[in-house]
Amino acid sequence: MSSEAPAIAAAPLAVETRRITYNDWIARWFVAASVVWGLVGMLVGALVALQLAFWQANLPPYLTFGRLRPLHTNAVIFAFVGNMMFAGIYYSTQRLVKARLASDLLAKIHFWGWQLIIVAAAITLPLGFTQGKEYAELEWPIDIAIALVWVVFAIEFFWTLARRTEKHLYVALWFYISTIITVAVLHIVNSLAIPVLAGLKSYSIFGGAQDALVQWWYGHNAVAFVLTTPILGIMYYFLPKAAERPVYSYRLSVIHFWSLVFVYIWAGPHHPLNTALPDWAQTLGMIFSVMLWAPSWGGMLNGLLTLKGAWGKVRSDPVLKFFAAGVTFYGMATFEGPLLSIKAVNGLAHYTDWIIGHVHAGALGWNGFMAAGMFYWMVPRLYGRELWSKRLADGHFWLGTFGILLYVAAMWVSGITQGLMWRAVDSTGALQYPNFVETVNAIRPMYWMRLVGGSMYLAGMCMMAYNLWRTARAGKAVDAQATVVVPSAAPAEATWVEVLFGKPVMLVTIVAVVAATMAVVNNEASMFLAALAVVTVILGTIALRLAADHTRVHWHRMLEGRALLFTVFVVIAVLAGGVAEIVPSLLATPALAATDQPQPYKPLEVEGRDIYIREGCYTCHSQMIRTFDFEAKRYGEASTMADSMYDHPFQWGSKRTGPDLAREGGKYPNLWHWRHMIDPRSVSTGSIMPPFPTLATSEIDSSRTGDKMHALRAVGVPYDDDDIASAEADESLQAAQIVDNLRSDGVGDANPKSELVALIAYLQRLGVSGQKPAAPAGAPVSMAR
Amino acid sequence: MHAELLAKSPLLMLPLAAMLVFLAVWIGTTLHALTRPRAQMDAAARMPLRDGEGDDHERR
Repeated sequence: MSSEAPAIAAAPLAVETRRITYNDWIARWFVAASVVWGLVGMLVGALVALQLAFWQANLPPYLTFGRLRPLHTNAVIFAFVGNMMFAGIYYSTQRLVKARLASDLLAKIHFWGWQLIIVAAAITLPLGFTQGKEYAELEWPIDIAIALVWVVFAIEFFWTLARRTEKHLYVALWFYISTIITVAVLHIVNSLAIPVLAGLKSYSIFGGAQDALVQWWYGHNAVAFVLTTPILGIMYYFLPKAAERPVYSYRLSVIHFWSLVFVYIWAGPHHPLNTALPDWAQTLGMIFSVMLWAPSWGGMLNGLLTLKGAWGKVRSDPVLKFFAAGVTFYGMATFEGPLLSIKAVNGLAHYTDWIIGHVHAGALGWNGFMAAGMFYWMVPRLYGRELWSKRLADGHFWLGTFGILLYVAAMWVSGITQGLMWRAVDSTGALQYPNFVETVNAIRPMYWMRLVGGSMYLAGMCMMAYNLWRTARAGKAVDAQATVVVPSAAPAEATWVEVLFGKPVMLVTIVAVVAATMAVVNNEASMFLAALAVVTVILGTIALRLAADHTRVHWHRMLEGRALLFTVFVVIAVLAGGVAEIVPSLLATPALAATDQPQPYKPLEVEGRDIYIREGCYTCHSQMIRTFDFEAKRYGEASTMADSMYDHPFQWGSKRTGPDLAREGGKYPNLWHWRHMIDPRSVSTGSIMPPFPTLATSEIDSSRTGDKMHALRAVGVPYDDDDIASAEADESLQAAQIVDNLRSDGVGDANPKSELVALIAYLQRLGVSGQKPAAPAGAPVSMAR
Repeated sequence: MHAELLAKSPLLMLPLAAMLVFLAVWIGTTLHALTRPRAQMDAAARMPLRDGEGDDHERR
């Protein structure tokens, strides 16, 4: 865009110097918290890896894979990386804006509030309190606490920007701004739920395919704006510091930033590819994911090329070793991500361990190594002494690197094996491995290899924790001081009108209006308008360039000095994709024929579904049969949007350690499910599923079923007053039918109030109409799975 | 069915419209970045290196 803004008065300004002391204790606190929670989160990760390799490591009811896996993901994302990100942001922001944090009190509230949230998560998730949405499992009171603490963080950050003595906002700060804004939007929208009266239980206001779209818009962008953008900001600050040279290309960083924040938000639908999600959304998700290649690699190359001329230092400096490897892993993960988003590749990889390998290449390689590099750089400065042992840090680096490679290689092999075995057919067209357990047994050695790799990485983390602790103990906490130059009077600056109504903004607005008009005209006219918009973009840009006046301050340069306006433009960039992608699916209501109309779950099935969610069954079982022949042969007809339209939240899942359950209802008799849940290996030899014997003895609370149905009605499930009033009676009736059926098959002691009976009712309902009998009676028990 | 309803919805122009806006912003940003004076860009790139000038530390 061209330089079209009015000139800024260049009169000399009187200046004064001021001595400031940075608030570095908050950085020390967050570093310590990140290291501690990182160890906890990764220890839980090692435990869940062990549980997959050795099912006996499951300790029901609280320490099973389904309950611990969400604890692992939440701990490493929000506790380890979250605290690391806060440490890096607070440390670098103060130095980039040359101002102390605005409020020590807000910093304390932020720190302790975040740690309390983590403790609440660590308690509630093993207890089974979960919303059943990946990376957003925490229940509604904790969600509210997260929103409040995030607001405190935002106030602290923007208040500090407002007090800055350095006018120009460095690119790292742009990434921090985008993080703060986008995470707030994502968290609030995806967490919208109706609580069940006076309970720690809620139902998402979104259901079925709409929930899938919103959840993966959130889930993907949690990766983008928690695990990526703040770490890129940290890279842009700490990598030049450690290499003692400026970032390779500031121009590239400008393009990197705007492209990334604009494109990233669209890519969420690449998670439910080849599913019942509308094709247009899948295609959008795929295209934007492939487009992400460019900005991601632009950032990666900018980071690596910053080391140009400093590669000699990488050999001897553990900080640069970690940064160089971290950025390289970022490049690898952001190459693999778009690749996996291509529909054909996704058809092979989705639901397999390949995705787990991809995620861990990013989490361990990019996030973990960038965190380590930052800690090894910061802690000696925060405690005024050299790092206690460079050799130990080197050992950490090599142990961690080999650990990641082992982990990722194991998951690649495992994932591709799974994908190929699931789709393999013989010469007659029949599935070559019809028994799902065959595909599980084939990959079990890889689960052990993953455990070894992950444990090596964890050992490296322990070495880092010890090294940092010895460094801190040998030194003394110090807060850095700096002399800053402050103008005596505020310098003349561009007004918000000049920025907001600058010619580049006007050009984009014209294009937006032309493009928006396409939505209300016919096809021929919309094609013309699309062409007009493209021509306007090209000619308008050329016109602005030709009319550029290089004696005036450029529009984007003005924007870089106006924090609030900059934030507004980031919000627009981020929301453009989110709104355009999600609004169409939220506004369009299903128009189903009467015969297609699914029935809502019966009261006992509602209770069973809650148990399914509580136990984290979705962490291993999908409920989405994709549009492939081999899936139809194994699981039945492909899932439709109607199948899950009353599912709040949706349970499509993202991983198949066990088989898909979308059409599980009626496949097996009640007795099979009873025995399977108590001892999976009694009916499925070789299964690695944890046993759930306590479900047979623990009872449901029927007095709350009506409240649950009230809440579900509030989010759109069509229960009437009679349904709710008769909930307890209906529940008893359906439970009695199942218990009678079990008794006739030889289970004399089944308790009709038991959670297991409710769970069976739910499982027998999956994929069948609510009007049909819930279970086949008297069918022989099959050992095949 | 739901999918058909969505496929015919004029709301589907929204993603296309947003893509065009993205195109406009991207072209503009790229041109802006590539045509800025070198000195200005170099000064911005050096910001992290200038933040420590004159720093000393206060023991707590």
